[in-house]
Amino acid sequence: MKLKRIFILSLAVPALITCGCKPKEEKEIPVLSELKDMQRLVLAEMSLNKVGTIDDANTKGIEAIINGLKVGKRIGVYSYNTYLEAYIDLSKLRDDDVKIDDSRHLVTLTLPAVETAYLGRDAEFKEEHYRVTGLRSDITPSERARLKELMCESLKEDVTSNTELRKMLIEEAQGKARSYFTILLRNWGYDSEILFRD
Amino acid sequence: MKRILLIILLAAAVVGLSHYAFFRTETKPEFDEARLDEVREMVKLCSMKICDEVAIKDSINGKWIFAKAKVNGYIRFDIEQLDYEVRNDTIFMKLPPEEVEIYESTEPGAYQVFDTWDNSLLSRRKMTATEENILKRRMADRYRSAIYQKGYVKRARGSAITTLQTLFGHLKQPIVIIDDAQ
Repeated sequence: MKLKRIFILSLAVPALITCGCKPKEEKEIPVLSELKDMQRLVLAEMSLNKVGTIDDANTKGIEAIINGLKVGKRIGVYSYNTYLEAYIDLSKLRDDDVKIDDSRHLVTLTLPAVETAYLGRDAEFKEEHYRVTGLRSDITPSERARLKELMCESLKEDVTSNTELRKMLIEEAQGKARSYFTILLRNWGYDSEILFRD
Repeated sequence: MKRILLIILLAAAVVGLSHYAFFRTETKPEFDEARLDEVREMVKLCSMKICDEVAIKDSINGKWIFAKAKVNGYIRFDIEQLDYEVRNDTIFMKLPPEEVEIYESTEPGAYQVFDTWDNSLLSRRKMTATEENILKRRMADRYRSAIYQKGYVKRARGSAITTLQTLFGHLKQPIVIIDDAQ
């Protein structure tokens, strides 16, 4: 009788634990496709490098204690580049932005304000360093994807907080626009003054 | 009876904690501040942007992955390479070859891994970063081919010609833009 009760309990406990688990939810995978015609004149591009680390040494509190019990070590260091572009939107160029003085062979060109936007990031995730020892499991694609997501959020915060980066990019773009249009118009026999709208 | 129940519960707790301690793999990540790598000047006309979500189901060395990536495709023309000549006060320009660039989006959730598995008996081999990067390059190459097959490049070239004609039209220059690709 005692043995029977022990046997039933041995089955009941894991069964109860299993019942407590949530059923696997079917993940819907929405597919989005968008095509945009553009009239962007891209004048400068900036690439920013971000490095992220998965390392037991970064853990604190109870997590650090648990990691201390584990046999082996896990460390992975990854990096990728994100790209920003500076451009003028040619659809915003108006007829009265171009003033031609034929007597002086002078063109005054007022270009739309330079804008910046994220182009995107490298799809590839460069592995700078990787070491997994002992009984530890390898770093998985899911972990790398989550790390990249967190790195992206962190990079955007870095860019927002460091206004010098965008300012530098805009100044490069304005300089390039001035030199390009000045040379082009000079080849067509005109002196030029290149301005930007605010 | 109570003693036996206590033993079973203790055993379950030890098994659970051991599983958590030895097999739970989450480790807190750490980041350096973003570093400026390069600033490049250019004069490129971007006439089309394509935003897409691409499913990746591919394998390498017997290891499989099923993931989704949001990609940004751009079709651009290097205007600094624009060939032109002036004949009878009319400027004749040749549209340069297109540059099709593919990037992963910076939007949240741009790359999600749904499942990974391998063909070995115990299915315990994990896909390495190098293997995953090879699959991502394959995805980008396939996507670039699809952009050509869907006629986006032809449409982008037409759009670029219209934009350049409008731009130089503002400068009051009679201009003819030739597209060798058509």
